[in-house]
Amino acid sequence: MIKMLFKTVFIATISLFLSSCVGEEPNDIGYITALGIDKAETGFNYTIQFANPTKISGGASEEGGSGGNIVENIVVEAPTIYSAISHADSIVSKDLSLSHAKIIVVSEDVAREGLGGITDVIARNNDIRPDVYIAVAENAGEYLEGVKPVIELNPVKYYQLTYENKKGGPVPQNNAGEFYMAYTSGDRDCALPLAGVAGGKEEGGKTDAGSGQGSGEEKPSENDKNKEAKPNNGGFESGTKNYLPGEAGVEIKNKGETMGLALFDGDTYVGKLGSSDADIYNILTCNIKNSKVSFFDKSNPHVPITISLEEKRVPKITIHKDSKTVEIALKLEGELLSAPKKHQDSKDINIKTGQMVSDATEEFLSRIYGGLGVDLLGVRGKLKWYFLSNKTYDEYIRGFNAKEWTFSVTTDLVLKRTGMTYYY
Amino acid sequence: MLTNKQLSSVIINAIVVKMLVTFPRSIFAYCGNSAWLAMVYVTAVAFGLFSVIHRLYRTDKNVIGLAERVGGTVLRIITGILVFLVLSLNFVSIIRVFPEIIRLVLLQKTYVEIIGTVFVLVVIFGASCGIGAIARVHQIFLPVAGIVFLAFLIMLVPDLHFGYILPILGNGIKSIAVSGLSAMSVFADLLVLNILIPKMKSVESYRKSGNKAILAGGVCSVLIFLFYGLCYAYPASKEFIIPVYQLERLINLSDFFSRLEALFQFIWSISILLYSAMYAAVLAQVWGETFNLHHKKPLIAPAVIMLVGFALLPNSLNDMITVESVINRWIYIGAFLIPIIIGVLFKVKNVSRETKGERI
Repeated sequence: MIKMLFKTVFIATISLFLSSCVGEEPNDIGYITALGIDKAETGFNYTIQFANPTKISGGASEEGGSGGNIVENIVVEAPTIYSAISHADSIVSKDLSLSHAKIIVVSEDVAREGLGGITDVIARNNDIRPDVYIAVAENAGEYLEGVKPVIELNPVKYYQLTYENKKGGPVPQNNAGEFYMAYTSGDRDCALPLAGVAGGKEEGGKTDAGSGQGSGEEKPSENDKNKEAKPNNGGFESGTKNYLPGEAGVEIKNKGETMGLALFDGDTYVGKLGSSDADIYNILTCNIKNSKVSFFDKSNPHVPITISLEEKRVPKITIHKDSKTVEIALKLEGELLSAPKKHQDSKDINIKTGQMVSDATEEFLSRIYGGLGVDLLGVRGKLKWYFLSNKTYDEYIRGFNAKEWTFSVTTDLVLKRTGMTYYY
Repeated sequence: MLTNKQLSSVIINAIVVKMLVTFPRSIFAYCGNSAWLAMVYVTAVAFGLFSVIHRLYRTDKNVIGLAERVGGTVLRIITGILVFLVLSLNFVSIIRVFPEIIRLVLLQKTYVEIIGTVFVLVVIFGASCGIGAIARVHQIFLPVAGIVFLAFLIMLVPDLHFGYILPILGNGIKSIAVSGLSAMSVFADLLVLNILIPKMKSVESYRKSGNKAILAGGVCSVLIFLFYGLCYAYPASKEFIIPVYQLERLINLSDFFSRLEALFQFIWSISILLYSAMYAAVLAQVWGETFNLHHKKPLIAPAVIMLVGFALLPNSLNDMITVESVINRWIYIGAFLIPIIIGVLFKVKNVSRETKGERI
């Protein structure tokens, strides 16, 4: 009996200890959702964006719940991420934690000096996930201030949906883990998403509630940067512009935009490319899934052919080490979404659009390799097939120059479906 | 008496436990992206050495018992102390590294001293239950751990990059054949199997359970090395302290389970606790046999506390890892050489007795 009583008391005591929140309560923690890093006169300006739990937890029925109130930003000047958080801790009542951080935005100036230090923080820190995104913006703080999710109540979800963009499209599918691996292994160079802020002044005033997205408290502003975007030449993505972030929206409330490629040579930022280039990059990395692409046809220049592209096979890349040439065979499946009525022959569409993809890809690669010397496809890594040991490989790769390599691309684009109508 | 299944479960767990902590990192540092090949190679070598050893031990005596038969009390004590040293060196790093890992991974705001104290108390309690009880728990636990391990590997498949293990020979054949030999330390625990010979049902148990343990432990180790090498490109792969934990961090099941490492770490922790309890019990048995002591249980707590003292000698976790990699580089020599030397001496003595017509 005494034994039983002892056991019961023991189990009850253990249960109490296990269920209690000894130490820090979740309510005491401020969850950082995004971190912006800009150059300052001495050190860096860190924009720390953290979730505002009072606006998130109540859902849409709460008074706020939209228009940027779900996050708060503070800016502190510090030499490192940790000292920035330490400073911010003395400003914000809650204890700031990086465990739910979804994105680190760095300014172009910071990225030009190299991201080695930031990737080291990410690799060492157990709180930060390897799938956290790193984006490059002209001004990181300005971008985070401009992000005002309109239809999203959870800021982490907003960044996740924006940057994961599972259809491919204009955002490269690389995160901090991919960047770290590319940089430390030296197998390839990496492209990160570009972020930016739309231009134009907010007109203020109130619109009718429910007329647009969210609660409709603020009028959307006109984006004057839209006119600066360069239109695409050639057949691929005809009729659209090669947008850089901040140029895409015409009238918008949420000024934060994500599209295009920030190109890195090792850990150093060397240049940026627009949304259509990101489409090509995603085709080359097999990240296109039901992405809508429009093609320009000379026989009917006013009505583009629109195809939903899907890539089920990784592109076949054949490297000729001695001649320094690379053959790329793309295999794409498409669903015809719209076409001028003159088209009656699916084979004709297949051949023409496939050729347009090939031309655009070759042109893209010549700019990346020939122009910038960035090994985005990972030719360096693929050359490992030719060597048995690291020693012989390292000796060869020391003389590697991306600018010397040339590419030829063939595309097998097959229209698998034609929507709800039979004719092409 | 322990069954074959229990024995092989104990040794499989002992082999795999090293993979769960810091061990793979040092092999990647020596062999580069071909660390998995080094593991295949040392598994073959372990099979070869064990096939020699088990032929020398067709008896119910372990290495200490055989030493007594060969050289009397003096050789028994010398052999016992050597075996105790080898096993202690093999085990000491876990005492320091495991609480640090738990703090790093699961209980970041808990003092490592508290985790370490709880760990030591659990190990002493577990070891006090006796080898029989520990082996039975091993037998129950190992299939569960096996299923979790399999699920773990399957969930890593989307993150595999075949190019990461190229060039296929990594830092070269010499690094695999010579430096890679330090991976043999994972099989140093076969010495534990030798110590357990008196608790085996038959002479054949030693051979059967040993071969089974080398095969299963070797396959698991090769898979861990291969998957780590396929997920983390060299030289990044030699940078992380706990490779298996790095692999766990890659696993995401949709948006619902993005931090599955806590679950995996829980299972691996049970595995390490069982291993530690088993080791403490075996150390007490070795000490008892060495000095012919009848009661072995009272030796458990002093032995563990003594090892805690040694484990705390390095100033930092990094120093401990450095010491551990030095130990791992040489420990297998002692673990394989002692049973071979004693076994050979016993055979030689037997042959000379037989030729003299003495009764063995």
